[in-house]
Formats: sequence, structure tokens, C-alpha cells
Amino acid sequence: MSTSLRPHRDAGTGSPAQRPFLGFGLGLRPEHYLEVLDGRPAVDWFEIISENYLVDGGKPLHYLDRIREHYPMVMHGVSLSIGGSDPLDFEYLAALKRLAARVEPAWVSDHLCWTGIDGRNLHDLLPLPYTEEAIAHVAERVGRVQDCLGRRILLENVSSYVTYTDSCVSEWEFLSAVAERADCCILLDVNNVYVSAHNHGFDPLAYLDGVPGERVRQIHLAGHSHHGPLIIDTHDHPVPDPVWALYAEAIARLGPVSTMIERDDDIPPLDVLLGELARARLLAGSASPPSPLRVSCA
Amino acid sequence: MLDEYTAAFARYLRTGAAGALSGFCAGDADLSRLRVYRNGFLRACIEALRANYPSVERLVGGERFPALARPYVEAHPPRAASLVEYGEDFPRFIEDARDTHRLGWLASFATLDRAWSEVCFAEDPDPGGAAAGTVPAGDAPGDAGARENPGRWLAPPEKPAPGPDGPGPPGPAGDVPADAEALMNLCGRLSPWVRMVSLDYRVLHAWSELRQGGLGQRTEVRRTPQRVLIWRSGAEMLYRDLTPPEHSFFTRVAAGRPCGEAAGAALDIDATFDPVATFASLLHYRMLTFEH
Repeated sequence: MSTSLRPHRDAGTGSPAQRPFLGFGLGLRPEHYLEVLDGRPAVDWFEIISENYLVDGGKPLHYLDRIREHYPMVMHGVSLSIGGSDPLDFEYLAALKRLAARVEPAWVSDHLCWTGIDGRNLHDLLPLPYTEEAIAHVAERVGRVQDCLGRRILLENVSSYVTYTDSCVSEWEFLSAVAERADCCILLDVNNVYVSAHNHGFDPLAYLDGVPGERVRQIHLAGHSHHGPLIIDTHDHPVPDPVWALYAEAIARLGPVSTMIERDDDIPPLDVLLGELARARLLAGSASPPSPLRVSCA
Repeated sequence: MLDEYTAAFARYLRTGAAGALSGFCAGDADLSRLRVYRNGFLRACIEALRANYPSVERLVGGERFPALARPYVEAHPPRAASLVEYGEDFPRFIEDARDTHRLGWLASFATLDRAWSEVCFAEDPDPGGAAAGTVPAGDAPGDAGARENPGRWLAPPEKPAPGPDGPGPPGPAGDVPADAEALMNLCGRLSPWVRMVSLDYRVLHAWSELRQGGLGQRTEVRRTPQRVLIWRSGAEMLYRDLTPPEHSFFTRVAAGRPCGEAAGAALDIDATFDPVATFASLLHYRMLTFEH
């Protein structure tokens, strides 16, 4: 059951063949503003962190406008708190909508998590228990967000570290149920799938097989850090080989999906990220049918 | 159940007390894994403060900065969706904690960092300038930083009126009367891209050196008040060490008093105060927003 009553601008999730394909992109970071403008690197599109541009003026908006003149963009948020227990923040949504009018993004995304309570923003992607109550709660709120923004949004799977007593479905079943019930799309973070699979000991291919492929609009590729028995989603390393292998499996199942390299810390020179992007292009171009091999999460 | 869960989780993030979450977690190992989230919350906020208060971070040192910032984060968790301007009360917090860090002048540096951020991300004074390809100074690495305005104010601009094909040079925000008498009666408020701050210590020079790389070999910081005006003009961040009559003038103008009255009070303090140059700069940089 969709809670959204009105059709959205990009209505219809359709088949993979109908999926809009932007190509291969990067996260836009201030460290690369000048190089992007001066060198016009071979990047098909950029993803911006929406919150970094929710300011009245100055450098961020200046560069955003200049770079947008040359590249398609998508908007990626970190403060929607779609699973939170506070009421939806319509002031934030209004600001997001104004930014979207300025950027004209191909789509707008955020995370399947919660980020604040009692008017405080905790600035971390906090986990939800995988319960029917949470599914219903999130789906209802996604419907209202989509109505407010006038567009279907994408929700990203976050890395998880904790298992809850009340969870009654798997992580991918939770993501799928929310997407189906809210009629929204999915941003599949392949690194997060890998991280969660390692931390909880499940098969990442089962995750890929379990998500509704027709709803996947975008893929994130990123690096992580090992901390004892845990892998933590730190976005401060290059994409590691096991994540590349899992990406190949994802593309083999999903077909062409707009893919980007996400780096948020220890930002390397742009050339390094362009090298990773080239590897993504190569892998996607040579994608084969689903492999029976297991991707190691050791 | 979700309400109870999120409340317990938020309490844990702020205090480290995980007891209320034990009923939700599947086992002891899961309870200990919660540290990932507490570390993530603290790290995000501390890194935001580090970015927003670069002179403070350089003065106390990168390794010691978290010890200064963490109590602030725990006492003042962010409200806004964006951390770009997080830390509004950090200068006051630093002032109140002076018995702990024993750096009496640190709050003055923090006050300048804060004013810089507020001006940096304020509404644009000259959208035409941005469209023409100029680059606002600001927060990115490689930024040349601010430049101090020359000791003298500007001469009056020759023709401030915008041309028919677009915005002209910087000028006053709003309608400005042409004749001198009307100008004397003009009232306004400081524009969003202008901040005036009062410091307990004279740190402007040292702060400028820090913003541009590091302190000189001998940098003196005296415990005498200093008043600073910081503003943005199209491509540049600018600041000025205000003289006592200039401070008097801007204080009155910011309070909505007529420009003529403010100039008269400034002249009473110092007969060498130059109202013409001050007015010219005030109009040229659109420091006042006039109410209609």
C-alpha cells in the first residue's frame, strides 16, 4: 500500500531497461572545486551532499552553480531522519525543495535510518530495528516527503553494527518492504552491504538477490576500515577488492545502474578518484551473468 | 516502541550510558558495538568545530582540540541539519572555560572565527559579481584568506548606479537618497554580510596570520579591547580594525540611528574622524540595508 496519494514527477519504477542511467559519477567535494571547473574531468555527473549547500550564500553556492552549468547532479541528504520519532521537519524539507529548484537534480536521496530527536540533530546514520512498526512508520513518512518534494526519493541502505531483539526480518527484507510500501526507489550502497554482511555474518549475495532490482536507481562505492572484529563504514579508503567484486555481482544482477565513488575523509587528489571511476566503468562494461561464486566477507 | 528506542539511543549518544538500550540489543556484543555510533556522533561534531574554528584549532593543537571541543558537543549538541555553521556558542563556552584551558585570549580568536563563518555563508551582497565569475574567499583549502582593508577608507565611488544591462559596481542595498541632507537622515541596519565584533584582546593581526598559514616568530597579544568589522564584498572577505570613532559610528548605525547623528557622535570622540570616507565605504560595500 502506498501512502502517497499524488503521482510524482518521475512516476513509475519500471523495469531495469527503463531505469534512467546517468553513467559514472563522483561526490563533489570542496577540495576539488577548482580542478573540476578548470579541468572539466571526464565525470558523467556529480552527487552533492545537500546539507552542505543549505546556506544563504558564499563559496558553496557559488561553486555549486558554476559546476552545475557543466555537469548533471543528484542530491544526497544526511538529515532527513526518515525513521525518527520526531515529526518530519518541514522547514528542512522546504529548504531541500528550494535547493532542488536551484540544482534541478536527476533525483534526491537520503538514508534509511534516523538522525535526530527532540529537535537535536545527532549527525550520524542511526539504525532502526527491522520490525513491522518501523516499516509502517518509515513508509508513511516517505509518502509525505515525496508529496512535499513532488518527486520520488531514493533511500540508501546504511551500514549496520548492532542486532536488535525485536527485528523480525533481514536487513534487505526491511529495505525492500519500505521501498515497496512507500513506492520509493533505492540507492544501493555496495560497500554498506559488504560491511553489514561482514559484521552480521550473512551472505552479501543474498542481500543483492533480495532487493527489488527495478527500484535501484543508483549505486555507491566506497571504502571502509577494519576495527577488530568489526568493519566500519568510514569512507576514508579506496574501494577495496572485495567491494569491487560485490559491485560486479550487483551489476550482473541489475544491469546498468548509475554508479559513483563516495569519499568523505582523507580526500585524495581528483586523479585517484578518476582512476577508481575508470575501474567502475570497466567492471560495469564487462559485467557477466550472476556468478555462483560467493564473495568473501572474511 | 520506536519512541522509547530512539530516546534511549539518543541518551546513550550524549552520555555514554547504554543501560536503557540493553532491552533492545540482541546481546552483550551488540551493546558494546554501540560505541561505533557514539564515536561517530562525537567525531562528526568535533570535526565540524575544527573546521569552523581553524584559528582555535591551530592554537591549541590538533591533538588537544578534541579535549576542548568534546564538552561543548555534549552540552550543545547540534540542532541544524547542516554542520556548516555549527558552534554558535563555542566562543562563549571557551570564555567560560578559561580556568581550564588557561588561555585567556582564546575566546577572542574564536569570536573572529565565528564572525568569519557567519559572513562567509551569509546572503550574497553582489550576485552580479558571482555571475561574472568572481570567487568568494572562504573555507576551502588553498584559499588566500582575508585581506585587511587599507587604513584609509575608500574615496567615494564615481558612479554607483547600475547600468541598463545588469548590476553595476557594489552599491548600497536599497534606495539611497542622492542629496547630502537626506543621506544624513538615512537609517538602516548592518547587512547580513557584515559583522562587528568586540574583543577583550587585540588578536586581529595574530588571527590573520593564523588564517594565512601560521604565526610569525614574535606575535604579541595584548589585553586591550579591539573592535573589528568583517564583511564580504563580492569576491573578497575583508576586515578592519576599527578606531574608537569608527566603532562609535558603526555602533549607532547598526542600532538604526541616522547616519548624520552617528557621524556627529564620532566627531565628538575624535575631530579627525573622516565621515566622507566612512560614508563612501559604507555605501560602496553595501554595509547597510535600508528599510523601505
